[in-house]
Amino acid sequence: MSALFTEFNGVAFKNPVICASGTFNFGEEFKRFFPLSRLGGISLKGLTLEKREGNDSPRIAEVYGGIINSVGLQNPGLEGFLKDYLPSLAQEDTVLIANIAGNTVEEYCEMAQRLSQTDISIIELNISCPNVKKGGLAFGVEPKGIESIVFAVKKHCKKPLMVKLTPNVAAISDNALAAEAGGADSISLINTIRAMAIDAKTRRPVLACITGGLSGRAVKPIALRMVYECYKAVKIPIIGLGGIFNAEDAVEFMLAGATAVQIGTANMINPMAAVEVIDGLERFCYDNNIKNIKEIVGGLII
Amino acid sequence: MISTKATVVSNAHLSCGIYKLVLSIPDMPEISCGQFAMVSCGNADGILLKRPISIHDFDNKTVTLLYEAAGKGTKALSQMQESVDLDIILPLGQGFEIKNYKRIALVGGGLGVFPLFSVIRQHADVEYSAYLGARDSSHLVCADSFIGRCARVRLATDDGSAGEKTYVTSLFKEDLARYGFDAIFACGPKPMLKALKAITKDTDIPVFVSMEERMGCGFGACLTCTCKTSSGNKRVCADGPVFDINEVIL
Repeated sequence: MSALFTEFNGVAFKNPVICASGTFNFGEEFKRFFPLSRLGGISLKGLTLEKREGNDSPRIAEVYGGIINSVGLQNPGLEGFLKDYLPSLAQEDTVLIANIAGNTVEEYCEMAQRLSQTDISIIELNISCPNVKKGGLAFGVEPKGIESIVFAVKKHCKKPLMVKLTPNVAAISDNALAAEAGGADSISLINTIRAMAIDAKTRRPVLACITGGLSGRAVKPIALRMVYECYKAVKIPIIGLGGIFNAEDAVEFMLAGATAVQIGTANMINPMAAVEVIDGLERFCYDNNIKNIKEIVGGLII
Repeated sequence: MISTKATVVSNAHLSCGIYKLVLSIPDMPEISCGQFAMVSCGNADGILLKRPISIHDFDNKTVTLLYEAAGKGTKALSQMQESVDLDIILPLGQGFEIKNYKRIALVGGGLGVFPLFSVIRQHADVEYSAYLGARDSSHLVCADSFIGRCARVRLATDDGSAGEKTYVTSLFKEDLARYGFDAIFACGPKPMLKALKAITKDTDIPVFVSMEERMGCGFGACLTCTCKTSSGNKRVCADGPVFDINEVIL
């Protein structure tokens, strides 16, 4: 058996590397660079019940070691996804994770219910998008809000439910505990950190929306700390993300307690990034005589 | 489209912070005019993203990119010496389609002049009329290469230091009724494209414009470089950069 094979929430992954929502669209654009079957899984572009056009451009600013985006969940809507994207995606030999965002609790529930009847393996509850006015972050900041939305969605969700947490909170471990109490099967973190960029020459914000979400190398130390704190707090599997660019970064997240990792911003810079992380993890296992990558999860030596 | 390493053959300063980068590419893919490349600027000074740069010229071994060293990334790129390897993704986007056009007007302003040269290099059997504009003569770095390859080249500068002291769109307007163009290809700042749209709105000549927006990945995945069109948001990198002028909302 492959050293990278892993399993959580009853779902088998050929490796613990998942492409992160919002940086991979629905995978089509990456097929020119590698077969999607190389991936452990794909967390698909965030879906809303109705089609969304997203925010005005510019939607991206580069900052030191990172990017700030304000895309605003542009997506074809649940119907469009089911009709135009899922049939061909379902042919791919990789785990499909649907990332869902609603304006209301009812919308989240409806989407979870409908996606439960499809080839999607896991549903990722996006209560952490900083770029939409309604929904998104509104449900994901206070522990009480998290517990109640997770509890509500869980009743309509026949697939494992992964809850994606925002770092823009007082105590991340309280929020992880709230997700667990609500019935989450796993948690993924971190979503982007609210941030802004200003052009000193023009005296204007770079983004049309003024603020957006920071990701990339710059956020990795914060993400690692949060994964570590959540690992100490909860029993459910943690999927770590935030500035993972290579296998060494992935190993660090797993040592902090992540069962699997997601690759986000790196996909935008190097389309082969996720595959390079997978190859690097394989080498890491071989070089260190590790039979299965699970051995290192939470293996941080204090 | 490939993601590969390209070797710097030369990276010369032309004028006013504008550089000419020639890259040799071992496994050269097929390119068509008006497409662009995403070029790594290294990782100094916290730079992550590749930079989108239009393809100015190409053959079966090299691509030539003209760019302005304007920000952190392109300034770092301007320091890249001969024989350095750069990560590059190319060719990207939907370029200009020649179809069966016999007489094409090229309208370029500022940096927008650069990609238009790839059109005349790829399709030499078309009659071109070029209308090229810039701030002043020293910013019109590649106008000379259009001369001799086009039936006519008219230049406009803000200060009259090259060609006429007027807008490039004014020169184009004078010639529009005269030469019976089959199509118009344009690239330049938004005010220029807006003026072009106003000038051509009563004709039925197809007008194609190459758009610009801040980009992330460059190959259609991240949805950051959208522009508004009559049929909703479209990705400048993958659905464009060339659009029908009647489709984009300028």
